[in-house]
Amino acid sequence: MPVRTNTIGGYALFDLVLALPPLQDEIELIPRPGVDGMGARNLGSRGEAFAAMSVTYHSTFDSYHADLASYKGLIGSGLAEVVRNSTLLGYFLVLNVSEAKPPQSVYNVAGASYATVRAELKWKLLQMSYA
Amino acid sequence: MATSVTTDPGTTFTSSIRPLVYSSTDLYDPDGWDLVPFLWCDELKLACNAYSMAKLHYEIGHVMQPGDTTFDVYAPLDLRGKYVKVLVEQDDALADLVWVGYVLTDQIQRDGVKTEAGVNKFQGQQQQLQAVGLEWFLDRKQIQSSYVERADSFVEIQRALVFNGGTSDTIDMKAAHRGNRATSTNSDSLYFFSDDPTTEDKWTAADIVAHLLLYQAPLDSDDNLAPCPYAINPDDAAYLDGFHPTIASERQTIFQLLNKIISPQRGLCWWLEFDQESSPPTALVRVASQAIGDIGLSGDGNILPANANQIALNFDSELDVKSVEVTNQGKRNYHKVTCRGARQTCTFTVGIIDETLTNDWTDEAEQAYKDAAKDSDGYDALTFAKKADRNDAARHSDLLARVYSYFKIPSDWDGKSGDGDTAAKAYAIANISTTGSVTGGVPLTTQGLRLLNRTRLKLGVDYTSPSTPVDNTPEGRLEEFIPPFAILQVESEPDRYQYCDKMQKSKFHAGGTAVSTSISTPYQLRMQSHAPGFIVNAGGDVQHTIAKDKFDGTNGGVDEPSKVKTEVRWESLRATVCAEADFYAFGQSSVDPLPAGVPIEELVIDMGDDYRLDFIAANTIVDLKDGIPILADSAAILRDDRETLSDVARIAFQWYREDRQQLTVEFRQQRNLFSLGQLITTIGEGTTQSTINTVISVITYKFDRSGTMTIQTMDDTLDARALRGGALV
Repeated sequence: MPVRTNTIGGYALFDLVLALPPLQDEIELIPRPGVDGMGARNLGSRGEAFAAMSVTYHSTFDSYHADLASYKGLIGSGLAEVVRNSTLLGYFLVLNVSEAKPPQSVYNVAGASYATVRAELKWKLLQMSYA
Repeated sequence: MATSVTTDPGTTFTSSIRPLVYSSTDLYDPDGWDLVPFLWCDELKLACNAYSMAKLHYEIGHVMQPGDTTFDVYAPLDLRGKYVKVLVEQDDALADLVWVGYVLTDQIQRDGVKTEAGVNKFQGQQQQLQAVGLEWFLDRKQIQSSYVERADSFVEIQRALVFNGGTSDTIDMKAAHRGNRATSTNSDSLYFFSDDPTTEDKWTAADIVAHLLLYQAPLDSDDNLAPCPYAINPDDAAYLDGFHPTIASERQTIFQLLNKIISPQRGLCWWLEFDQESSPPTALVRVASQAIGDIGLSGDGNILPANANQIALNFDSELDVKSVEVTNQGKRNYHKVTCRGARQTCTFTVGIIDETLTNDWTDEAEQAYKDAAKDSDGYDALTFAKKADRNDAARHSDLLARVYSYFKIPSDWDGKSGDGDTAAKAYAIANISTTGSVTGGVPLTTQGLRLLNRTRLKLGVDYTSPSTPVDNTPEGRLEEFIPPFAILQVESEPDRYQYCDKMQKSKFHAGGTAVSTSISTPYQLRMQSHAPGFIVNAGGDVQHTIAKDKFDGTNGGVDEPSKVKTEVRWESLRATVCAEADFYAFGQSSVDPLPAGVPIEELVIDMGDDYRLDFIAANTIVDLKDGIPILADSAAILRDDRETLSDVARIAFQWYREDRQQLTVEFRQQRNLFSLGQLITTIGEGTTQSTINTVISVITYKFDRSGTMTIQTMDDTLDARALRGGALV
C-alpha cells in the first residue's frame, strides 16, 4: 500500500482528518421590501476557519512536547502548507493547536512499554490560497 | 430641465469597493503622491458649507494584512500634518472619485508591549486617523487687513473693511454710497477696495469671493499660497454675479465668509474640489444654486440662475437601495408674501396758528407759574426787585417745567399739515402711490405718533423743489440728516422769523417792527419721549421770554414780578419735524385672484429698517432765507425702497410656491452617480412620483463590510432678505 503523506507546515503527521471548507466567494444577499427578487453583493473570496484532527507518534513525551511547541510556532508565522493524503490542499493560516486528549504511551503486544507516544491534536485552520 | 438618472447597476451582482489611500507632503507636486499600503478608508463624507472628512485606520503590530501572505511588524504611520488622497476607482476611470484632505488627528489604541529581539513592540494596535478637507485651511486665518487702491498700486491697511459698507455702518443713505469697490480691475484681474466714498461701484458676491481667495488666503513663511492656491470655479461664478452683499470681514475667516456669502439662506451652497490636473494643482470653490428656474433679483436684470445640474431619480424598483426617507417640511405655499421695511416717515411743519400744534401745559400750571413765590413766607414785605429774584428762582421748579416750554400735536389732529401758518394743508401722514402722488391719508393714532430726533432732510441740500433736490455738498463728502428745527417771529409787517436756537441774531431791518426791542434768548429744541410733541427750552433762563402778551412781570404788571422781560410770542412758533406713521413701507406679491372660501395664508418677511419710504409734505418749511420761511413747493418722496421690497416679495413668493422636501437615500453601492450641488427634482415615476426640489448637500461613503453610500439633500432655509444681498444675522 503506498504511503500517503500528511503534513501541516512541513511537519509530518501520521494521520490528518479534516473536512475542508474551500476558499470561495462570499455573497451578501440584498433584499428590498416591496420589490420582487433578490440582489447580491460579492464581498470577495475568503476561507472559513475549521477544525482538523491529527494523529502523531513521538519517541518520548519530551519529544512530544518539543514537537507540540514546534506546531504552535506555526501560529502567527505566516502561511502553512497543508498536505493531505499526499495532495497539497493549499496554504493555510494556523489559528490554534491543542490536545484533543492527553498523549498516551503505546505498548507492544506483550504489554511492555514501547517508547512511543501517541498524540491526537486539534487544529484550527483557515485556507488563504489554493495550491 | 432635469435629466433622468437610474441607479440600476445593470446586474444583480455588485462588488464591494475598497479605496486606495495616497499620502503627500506637497500639494504643489502632482507626482508627489505615494500609495500607503494597508491604510484603509472607513468613511468618506463630502459636505456643502462644512468640512468634508475621512476616517482612516491602519493595523499596527504583528499583523498579516488582508490580502497579504506573511506576518510582519507594522509600525504606526506618521501622517499627521500631511495630505492624503482617497481614490475610489470606478469602472470608468474618468468617473473615479478622488478626495484630498489633511490629516488632523491621529488616535492609537495601545495594547500590551512585547519585547522581540531586545526591542519593545506594540501588540495588536489600531491607529485611527481623521482627515479634513482643504476647507480647513480657509478657516485657520482671520482677516485683519484690507487692500485699498491707491494711485496705480495699492496699500494694505490693518483694518478689515466692510464689503459694500461704504463709509457708514448702515445703508441709511442712497445706494451709491454703499459701494466701496475700485472702478477698474488690477493686474490680477481682481478688484481692490476704493478710497472714494462717493463711488457707485459695488462688489458682486463673485468679486468678493475672488478677492478673498487670492488676497486673504493662507500663506507659508515665504508668502506663497499654502497649502495650494484656491480659486472660484470659473463656470460657477455666474451664480454670484447677481447680488451685492454687505459683508463685514473683520476677524472672520474665509470659510466663515464663504458660508455667509454662498449661503443656503441666499439659495446657494458651496464645496471644494481639488483639481490636480491644473498647474499648479488648485482647490476650486464650486457653487450651486437651489433655484429650479432663474429667479429675477431686481429690475436691473440681475438673476439667481437655475441649478445647472438637475436630476430626476427613479429607483423604486432597484434592489441596491437600502432606505429612502422623505421629509415634507410643512406646507409652504402661501397665497401672499409681504416684505416689510421701516415705518413710513413724513417730514412736515406744524404751527400754533394753523392748529397743527398746541401748548402742552394746563391753565393751572400756567397760573402757578405766574404766581410763582407769591404765597411764600415774608413775600409781601419784599421789595419789587427781591420779589422778582424770588419769583424767577421759584419758576425753575420742575412742577412748572412744562409751562411755555412743552408743545404737542393736538389729539384730534387729522394728519394734514401746511406751513404752520396760513398755507393750504394737505395730508402729511399720507398714502403715497408709487409715482409719489398722495392718494389720501393713512389711519393714525395721534397719541401713538413719536417725533424723531432727525428729519429725513440732508444738510446742504436745497429742498425748495423736493422732487428735484439740489445737493450743495462738496464733492467727496457725505450729507448728514438735519435735526428738527423751530422758528419764531422776530419782526412783523413784513413778518420775519429766526431759528429758535439762533435768536441772538434776529435783526433783519426789513422795514417792519421788531416784536421786542431786545431779543437775545436762544431756545434748544428736543423731542418729547412720551408724546407727539417737543420741548422748547430757554437754555437755563426763565421760560416766559417766549410768552410775550401772555405774561407780564413788570412793575405794575398783572403777574408776579420778574427781572426777565418777555421777548417773543410762543403763538408764532412753527416747527419742521419728522414722524413715523402707523404704516410700513412694504412690497407684496400674491396669487391673482386670491382664492375664495379659504383662509388666505400670508407670509410677512421683516426686511428691517434698511428699506424705507420717506416723504415730505407740501408747504413744509425747509429753510429760512433773510428771515422768510422757504416752503417745499410740492409733496415729494425723499426715499422709496418699495420696488426693492416688491422684488423680494416676488422672489419669496415664487420660491415658496414650489414644493420642496428633504431627501435621504442610502444605497448599497458606491458608484459615482451623484455629486454635491446636484438638485434632485423628483423621485419615482407616474403615480408614485414625489417632488423633491432640494440640493444634495451631504454624500457619505462607508467602506465597511457592506459598503453603502448615503445622499442627503438640504433643508429649505431661504432668507428672502439675504437673497438680494442683505446681511445675514
